Amino acid sequence: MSAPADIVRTLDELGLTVPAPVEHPFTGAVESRWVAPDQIAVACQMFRDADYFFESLTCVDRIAPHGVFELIYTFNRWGLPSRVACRVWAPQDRPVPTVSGVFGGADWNEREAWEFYGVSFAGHPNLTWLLLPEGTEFRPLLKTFTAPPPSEYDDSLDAPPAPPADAQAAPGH
Amino acid sequence: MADGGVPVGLASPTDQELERLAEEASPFLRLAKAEDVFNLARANSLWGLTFGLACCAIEMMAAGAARYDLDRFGVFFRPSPRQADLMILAGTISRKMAPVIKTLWDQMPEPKWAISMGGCTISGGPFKYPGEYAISEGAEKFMPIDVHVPGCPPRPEALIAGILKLEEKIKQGRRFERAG
Amino acid sequence: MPKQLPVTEPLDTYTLNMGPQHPSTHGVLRLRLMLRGEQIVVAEPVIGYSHRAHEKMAENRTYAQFLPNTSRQDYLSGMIYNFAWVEAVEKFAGIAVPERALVARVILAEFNRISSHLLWIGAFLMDLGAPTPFLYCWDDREAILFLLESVTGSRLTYCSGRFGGLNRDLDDDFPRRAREVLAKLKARWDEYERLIEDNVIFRGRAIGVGILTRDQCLSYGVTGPTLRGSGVPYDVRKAEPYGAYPRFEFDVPTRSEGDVLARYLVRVLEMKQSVRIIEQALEALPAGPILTPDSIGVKKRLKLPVGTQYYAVESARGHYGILLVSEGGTEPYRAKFRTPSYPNLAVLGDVMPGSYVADAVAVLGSVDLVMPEVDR
Repeated sequence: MSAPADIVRTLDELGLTVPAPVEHPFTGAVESRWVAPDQIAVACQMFRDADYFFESLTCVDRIAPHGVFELIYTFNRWGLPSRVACRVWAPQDRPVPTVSGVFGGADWNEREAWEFYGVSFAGHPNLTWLLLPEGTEFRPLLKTFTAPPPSEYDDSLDAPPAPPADAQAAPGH
Repeated sequence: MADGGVPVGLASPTDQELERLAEEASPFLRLAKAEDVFNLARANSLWGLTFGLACCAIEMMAAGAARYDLDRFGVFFRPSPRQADLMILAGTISRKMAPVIKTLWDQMPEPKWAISMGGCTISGGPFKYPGEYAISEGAEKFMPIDVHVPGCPPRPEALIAGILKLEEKIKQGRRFERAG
Repeated sequence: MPKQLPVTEPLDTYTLNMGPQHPSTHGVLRLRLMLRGEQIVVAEPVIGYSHRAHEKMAENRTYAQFLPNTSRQDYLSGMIYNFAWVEAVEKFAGIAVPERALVARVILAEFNRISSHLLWIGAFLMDLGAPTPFLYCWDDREAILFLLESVTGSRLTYCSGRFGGLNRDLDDDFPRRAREVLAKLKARWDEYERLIEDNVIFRGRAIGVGILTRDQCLSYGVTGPTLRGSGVPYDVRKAEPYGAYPRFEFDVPTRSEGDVLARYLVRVLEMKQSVRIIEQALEALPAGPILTPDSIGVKKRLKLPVGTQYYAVESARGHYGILLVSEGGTEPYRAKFRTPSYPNLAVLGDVMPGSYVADAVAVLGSVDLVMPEVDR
């Protein structure tokens, strides 16, 4: 059986789900569960076997105050509304197993999560820059990121030069 | 003419005499410097590089399509930079793309001109905000631009006005006489 | 999974770079092709040349301030994307929309869909070497743009959606002008069929080329006409109906071959279905206000409740989803845009190997990509 209710029941029975770490309702999906980060690849395989397609992977910065990245995987079927959301609370220091072997669509999504947040995915064949120029060192979508280093392509080079440190106010000339 | 010889009688005309000659001959003949003639040819036959980056590219293509026809102004799009003399920068310039654009600009042979179309290429447009990390705040940061066409996106008529302005700049005169 | 080029190439292959400036890559896409003779061995898309940081901007903008960005993600379905953002916020905040606005949104969105498909036909055929349909299709498109400009004020990037309706009402003459445009379009269908579909060169370049299997679509999450050309009748307007779509009858055209011609035919048939929807909607356009009287968001800052929401619509390219995470403030905590061209491009890394270089352009064009939507 591959209805959303059946799949999440199987996820619960196999012990892949965890209780919600925080009260944060998810609307727009028929079912949503919190999945243990180490078990996400197993869960994805179940969705693949049940003919669900990989809809999206979103990373949310929850470092302040929880110290984790929230990864939201959504799966759907080609038919009646069947969206299932699997939410993973991934600690900053441990890599998440990759699901790109199960779903080809996860490949680029995981690369994007890495380059914008710094989440690492264990077993990913090519975890490198996708949208940003190669060699970019900052992680733009982190909440702590506010401005990039100045470059020749932005206005910071046109800022007026700071007055010299020993400038005195002219005494009424 | 040997030094010390008798002058033959044909001296080089001064500028004033040239102007008088041009005026008298004008119903039948136009006199101009060779460079002016070349500029006339260059202005009336600007071959643009097909180079759309984002939304403005669609309005540029609409300007080249049937209703707003750029071909009647001589503008004809070429895919290779070696065969183009006009680069219309249409769309936001991301920092990953800026070196590519500079390379293409360098590959175009002289004389060449650039029109920066849309707010994004003039100053960053709607994507400029404090802390932006992804775009280049205007094409003038890294290459010379001749005409700016503002808009988001500018209408095809606005792009045509920009091209006519560039023609005016090249040949120092207008294609269509100003009314009144 | 999309294959990457090996670090050292085998001796009998060479790497050919296509783009980012290329007349046929529809925006700034770079394809690194590894070729053995003329056959493609590996095709690796390199993207990011159009990255404009929409998702970061969404975190720094209020819900109303983000409205101009929405159209610019996919500027060919700008109306649909603008309405998707507005509808997502309305659903999250529980804002009611008057009936006239719901039906008007359907009319404008379907006109936008037709104009996007017309543009695609023109550009795609020009890539294949036929410049004539470009001129015909874009002229028809100008009639639609003129109509949409008379209502919204913009030709390409629209910003007429408001939280609770539209910013400007359709005038009384609009149904007559809209029917004129529809009549002009319907007069052209036969002409396009004779010009394009019966053309032997087009058929030779399109039949059997770039076959996309159902399993690849499942693995990558391919949606839209690209998916419907491979035999799957999935359309968000039918699967998860939104707005006023449940009131109108329309079919979801599907073809089973999965090649370039199938994807072309699906889009042509989709345009005809859009005309059908618009005709029904013009009949059913009710009188009434176009904007709910207590609409906020532009003059007063809207705050959404705490939670996460996923909202999906069918754009001209496929399933467009907005995932909004709100922590109760005036700005989204996180806004993720699941754009249809993203997986539609990723799957090409699996579809192109085995075909010839000349087919690369046909396959790339048939998927109808918009690069700023991929890069956001």
